[in-house]
Amino acid sequence: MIALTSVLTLGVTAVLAAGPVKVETQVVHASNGPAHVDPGLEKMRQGFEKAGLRFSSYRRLSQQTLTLHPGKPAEVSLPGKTATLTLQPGEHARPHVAVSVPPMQTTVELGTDASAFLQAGPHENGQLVLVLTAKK
Amino acid sequence: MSLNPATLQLLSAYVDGELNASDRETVERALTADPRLREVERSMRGLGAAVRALSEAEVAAVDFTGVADRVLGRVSRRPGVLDRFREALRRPWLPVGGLIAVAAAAFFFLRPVEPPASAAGVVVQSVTADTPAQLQPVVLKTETGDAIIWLVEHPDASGAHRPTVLPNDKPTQAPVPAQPQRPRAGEL
Repeated sequence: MIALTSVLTLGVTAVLAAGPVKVETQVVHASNGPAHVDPGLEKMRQGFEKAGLRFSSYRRLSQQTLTLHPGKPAEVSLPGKTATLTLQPGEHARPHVAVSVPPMQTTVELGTDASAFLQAGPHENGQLVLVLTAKK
Repeated sequence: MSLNPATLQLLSAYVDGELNASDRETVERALTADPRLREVERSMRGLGAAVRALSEAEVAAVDFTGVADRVLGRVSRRPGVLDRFREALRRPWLPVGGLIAVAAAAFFFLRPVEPPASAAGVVVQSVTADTPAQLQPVVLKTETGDAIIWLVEHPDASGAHRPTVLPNDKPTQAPVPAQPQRPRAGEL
């Protein structure tokens, strides 16, 4: 009975750890054009400003929810380039996602109440920002 | 003895044999002396006999066969704790359900404790960039746990650098407030 219990416990743990993860991705154009902040980006604007990055315009160019499977790359289209997201395999309490958005490569551990903002290069007198948030 | 309610009550008790010796003697003396009282006494005895006869006839007509079985059949006999436990063990789902419950409990108690997302926020484990030497990626943490990964020109080793952006796209430089969560040197 103990052996069977252990097998069931390990099985449940493995299933939960290896499951797919949903990640919300947004592509935001931050610039110093006419003042404008798209709905839902005010928190981003405040965070940037406190970090010393002051833009007057934050416009969301795209938004989608990706389902990431361990080891399988998923792509996000940005103007003029493509970002690649890969869920790192292994047992983690929170999803570890490798992100390649030229010229940067990074690995972030995502949470559901916070976002990762990655500079994704210049675009139309501003900067592209790739925003990643794990969905509950 | 006159025929008042008290006399009739006493006479009824006499007919039913409920009087003590003294009262019985008093009533018998009255019966001897008063023919009306004797008539009433006979009527009482006749009525009692008729009632008894009728009751016996009714009882005889009732069929009590199997009454005990029907009554006992309606009484719910609860088996003992041991009997119920044995009966439960005979059901195939119980051992399986019990194992699943134990496994679920073990999973919840043995799983790694995860810090609250709001406390930990986003954690940047690594970051590299194919950029000129003067541009290096840095991680800026916000008060809400967000992480900003940005390219910075000549980042200060103390971590008190001011983020800049690529040419032609510089944002308005804002004073950098004190950032208690700002990454320290060598954190990346």
